[in-house]
Amino acid sequence: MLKHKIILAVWLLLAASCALADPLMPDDVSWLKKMVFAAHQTDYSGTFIYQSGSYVETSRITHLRDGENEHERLEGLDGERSEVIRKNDQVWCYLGDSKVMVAKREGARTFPALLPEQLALLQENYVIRHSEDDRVAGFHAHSIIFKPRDKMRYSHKMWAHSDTGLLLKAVVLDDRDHVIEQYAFTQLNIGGDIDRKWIVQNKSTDRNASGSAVSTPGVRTLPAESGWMVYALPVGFKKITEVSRNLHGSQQPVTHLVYSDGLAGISVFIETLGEKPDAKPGLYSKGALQVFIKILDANLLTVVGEVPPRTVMQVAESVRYGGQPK
Amino acid sequence: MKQNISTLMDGELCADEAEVLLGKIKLHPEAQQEWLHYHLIGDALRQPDYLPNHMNATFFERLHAEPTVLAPHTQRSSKASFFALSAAASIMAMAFLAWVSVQVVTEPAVQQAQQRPSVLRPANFPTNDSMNDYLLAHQEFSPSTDVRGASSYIRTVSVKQTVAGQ
Repeated sequence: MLKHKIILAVWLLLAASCALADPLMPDDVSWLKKMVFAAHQTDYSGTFIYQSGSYVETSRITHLRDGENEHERLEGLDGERSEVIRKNDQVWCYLGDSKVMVAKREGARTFPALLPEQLALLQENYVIRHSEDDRVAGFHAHSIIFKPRDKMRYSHKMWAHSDTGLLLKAVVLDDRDHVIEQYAFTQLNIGGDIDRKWIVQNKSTDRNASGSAVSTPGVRTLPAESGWMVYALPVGFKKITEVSRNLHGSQQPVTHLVYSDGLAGISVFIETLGEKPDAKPGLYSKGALQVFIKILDANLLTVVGEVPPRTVMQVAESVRYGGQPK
Repeated sequence: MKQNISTLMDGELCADEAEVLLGKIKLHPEAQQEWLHYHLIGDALRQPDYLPNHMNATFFERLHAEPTVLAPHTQRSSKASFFALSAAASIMAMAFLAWVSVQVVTEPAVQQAQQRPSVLRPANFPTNDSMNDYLLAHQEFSPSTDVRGASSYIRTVSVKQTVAGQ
């Protein structure tokens, strides 16, 4: 029996080494690092369009690095006012009638870099290669394709500014090469004089004075081990973290499990069902973002991810409580 | 034929084609064998502990029966690369099957969802505040935020835009 197991192990090893046969070229690695660095370190301001299906909208984005602090502002230019302002790991979200949501980007690294584990995970799940150079918003761009090794994730193509590495355009494609969503700068200023009046000076959340806070300001998140598990986690995804948090301004804690394949993320939220009149089970889609809501016994399950519907559904269908009986 | 069988197992063959193929499988014993093999490989990958008892024995019998070729051949290089290729192809086939076996469970539901595109239209995205809470919380950890920065919040913000448009 041992002999058979060894043979099986050799087969699996062979299959694994075959799957990893094309190593990332040093040039591609340095491009990825350059892009992540540029996203956080470059001062820029520009207008971009976002399109998913027949839906198109225009937004303005500004990013500033001010010594230790990173400031970012995203303004919707169509319809009602919508604005997201970020200072380091704090996020303020203004929608229409001045409602404010405050989120805290837990685990956001102050000095971002692609960690070796993330690179390894990326390479395990995507074939990464350089494509032809192009021009986007008047800038010379270097393009990179992330081709998934299976159908559990989307294909990504990104165009980065040749000099700085700043992301100029990104397209998400499904397994039939149909564009799921894309966004691209139409106008961009890198460096130079950028409006700084909107910058949040202190960390207080008094900007919500004019409206009601939807989430509890300063959402509390705690590392946790709830006992909830995803039994049929799609191949290539690794658990990143698990926290217990408050959502919807309620004191009822929500378990939040986070998984990543190096490029796409999946969040699993589990909370007691209680009285949630607007919880409608089913699959919802917004561009590359999928949400699957399911009721499991007395719990409400919400799975969110930038992955195909089958992936969020597989995750949702295999969530079980594996801890101590409650 | 082999390609079609795996496409069928993948649930991606349209109903007409599937019917034709199933008809062919019924008629051709070798196609039936192919069908059984694919499923056996899938089963073996999923649950290696529950293989039929006789399978290991048969496998080793056949392995022993394979002749060991020691004579040098004239077209060594081309032969070698052929074997390497066919080995790679079967490994890929197994990897693919492993994936197929995971798929089988969810596929029908996914197809159902795909056939009802109206369900997937952004307009039907629940646009209440609690949905926004989930999206924002997800965005905090998503690796896509690493490269895209605040522009990855576009999905969250534009949810509201959809409401405004309704």
